[in-house]
Amino acid sequence: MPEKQRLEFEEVLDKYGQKLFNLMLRLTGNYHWAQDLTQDVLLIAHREYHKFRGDSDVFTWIYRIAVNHHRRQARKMRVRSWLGFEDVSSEVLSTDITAADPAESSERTKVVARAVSALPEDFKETVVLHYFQDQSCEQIAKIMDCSEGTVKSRLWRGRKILAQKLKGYISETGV
Amino acid sequence: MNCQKIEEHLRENPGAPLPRELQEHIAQCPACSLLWREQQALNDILKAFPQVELPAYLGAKALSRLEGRQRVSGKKLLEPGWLTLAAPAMALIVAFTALVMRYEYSHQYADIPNRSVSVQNQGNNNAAPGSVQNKPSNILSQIYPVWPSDQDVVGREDLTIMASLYPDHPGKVQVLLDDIDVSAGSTISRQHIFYDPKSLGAGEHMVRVVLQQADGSYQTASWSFYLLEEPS
Ligand SMILES: [Zn+2]
Repeated sequence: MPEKQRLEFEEVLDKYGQKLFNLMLRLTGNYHWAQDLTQDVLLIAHREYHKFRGDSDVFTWIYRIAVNHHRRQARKMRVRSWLGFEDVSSEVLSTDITAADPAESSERTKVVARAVSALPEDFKETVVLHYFQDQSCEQIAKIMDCSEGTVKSRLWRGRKILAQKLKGYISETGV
Repeated sequence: MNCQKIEEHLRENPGAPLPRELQEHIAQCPACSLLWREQQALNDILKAFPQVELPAYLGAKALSRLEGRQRVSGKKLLEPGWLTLAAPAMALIVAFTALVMRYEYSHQYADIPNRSVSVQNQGNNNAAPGSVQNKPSNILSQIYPVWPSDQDVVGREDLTIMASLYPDHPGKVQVLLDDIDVSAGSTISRQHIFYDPKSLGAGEHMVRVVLQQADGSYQTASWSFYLLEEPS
């Protein structure tokens, strides 16, 4: 990679590394898996960076790689899990302290994280991008390569499911 | 009428404040008032969710490692070695996976626009994977890529090529890897295709499977994957 591109890419890593990791963490609901997937995404982005020439902004580009990579891996994981190769649930619920997601420090964040990661994939992607990554519906539409209307409807359906699942915490706020 | 507008507003303008007319409505409509407050509370709960620090090894030093194309892992969730299972077990797996994939293909790809998956089923069979035809004698086999999936990124320890044929394909099968015919080195049955590449460089690769159907037509499926360079 030429020095100029290298510096640019370093900046991209600096700026989006943590965000990407949090994206993967909320999509997978698994601290270890999120590390592996973040690393894969950085590898792919690094390999493809010379092809990226600003037709979209770098953020949209790298997030699209991330969302697509997660979809493929989640699908593979489901297949493996169905085949009995991976007991995903026991891994996710592992009591191994190093596997703990630091965000799940309270009962409430734990319940919220689990509720989000149990959403159907496309609702989850939209909810995570919107609420945890502060993306507008317009941005999400670009990342997910779909219409803004689709994003809004997925988000709405995801919110309705979450409102049901998190009823206990919602009523604590006096609703 | 206004009840509908509240839901519409919530759906169309997530997080936005309520316009005056709708504020007036929720002041006198308990159902909408509840819906509004519920969504506000959910909004607050989700927005307050904490961010997690990036593990140090993925941070500042990541670039030099990326340049070596090395993939380090804290603890790999997907342990290698599962592919070394005995062949009969593998056959069962592939058969089962094919069923799963039939569902996955029709279901998942329908939702991803502009995807370059090219599982083209050429010839005179227009049926989509998973659809039912009436005359069994006319059913042509479809090709279901099993492993790696299209545009997958795989490590060397996970490298094998599998595809499934359904329904059974009694005819001629050709397997190509990067346009080189590897059929002779592949294990091909009426339902499955396996190929273990012995020496394959890191980078992008393309698998193509060609079936010659009983009616003389051809069906092709091609998909690509990326092989990672692992640290030596
Ligand atoms: Zn109302």
